[in-house]
Amino acid sequence: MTRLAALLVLWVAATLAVAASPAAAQPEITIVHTPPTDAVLGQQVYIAAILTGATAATVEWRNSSMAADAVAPMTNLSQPDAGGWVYAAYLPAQATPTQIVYAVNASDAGGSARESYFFSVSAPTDAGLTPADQGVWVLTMIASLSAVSSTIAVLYMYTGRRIGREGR
Amino acid sequence: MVDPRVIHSITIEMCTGFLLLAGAAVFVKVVSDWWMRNLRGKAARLDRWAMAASRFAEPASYFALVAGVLATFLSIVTGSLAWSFEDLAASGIVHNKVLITSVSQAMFIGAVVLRARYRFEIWMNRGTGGFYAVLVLGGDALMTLQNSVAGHLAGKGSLLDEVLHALNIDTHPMWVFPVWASVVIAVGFPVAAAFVGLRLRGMSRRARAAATDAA
Repeated sequence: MTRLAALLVLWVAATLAVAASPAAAQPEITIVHTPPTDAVLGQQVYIAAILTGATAATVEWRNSSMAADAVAPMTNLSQPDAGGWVYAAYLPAQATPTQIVYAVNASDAGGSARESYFFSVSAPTDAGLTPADQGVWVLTMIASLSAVSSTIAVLYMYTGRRIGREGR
Repeated sequence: MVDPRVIHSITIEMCTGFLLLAGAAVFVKVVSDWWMRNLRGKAARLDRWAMAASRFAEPASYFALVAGVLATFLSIVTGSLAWSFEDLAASGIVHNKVLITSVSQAMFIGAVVLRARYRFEIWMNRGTGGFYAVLVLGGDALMTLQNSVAGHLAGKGSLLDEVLHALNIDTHPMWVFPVWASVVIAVGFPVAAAFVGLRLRGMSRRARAAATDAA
């Protein structure tokens, strides 16, 4: 009975300690963001996020050819939204079609939060493909199918020989 | 009127499901054959499981392969009806998708031809079974990549994006070989196949002659 009472006291004390700790009093940092879907070549990409409980934010990003992340600061637009504030940044225009992988990093004095996203930068559809591009692609298709069908033909002959030989 | 894209989605699910089932069944067959060749007698219960799995996996893989190839042709038709030709022709991503689909479909058709011609005997030799498995599983790998490209086409991204990014594979520019490489591959592979075929035929003739002499 004494042991049970001691455990009960310990549990109450631990609960009170956790509830009274400074970390529990900190507002949670949340990030609400939807990746852009209309990024095209040659245009900066606008990134906006609603941050709650944060005082500063950055975007760490990289495209397919970059070896390390680049960091862009996000600006507080002083625009309240959904209980938080809208932060925004522009990422540089891309010269070639690529995929951007990025993370929104929100922080305040007591902690930080991070969410990762990605989006694609594609050529505007009206640019289309030139007849020369189409020609090179057709040659690639012919070469690929030629390689696969030749390999299958060799497999066909090899299988026939192995099975025929072992069947005797 | 049902949106043609919905019908295309259904046919994609069909061909993907069948072909993944074919790949899974081939994988099970390879593992159970490996067990029976190398570890038979070590555990009686696993021996029984391996024999049962092998018996069911082989016909299941063949059925799924044939159904998957047919469903892929259906999917190609529904896909061409779902979007205008101008939209398809203008997109590099669509070209990548068509290229990968064509190569994987050629691999699956090759597997169907091999299995139809040599039946289950294809599994009775370690080498022929292994090559057949590589053909089916390689086709599955390309089909998975193709579905990832299709996710970008639909503007939804793909579960494989992190992996592709780590491997520095970008699905957005149109994938093409240099012209000289295409010409070398298009001519070189059939010539090499013909050379190997003649060598194999010569070896078979010599083996037959030696067997006749011995008899």
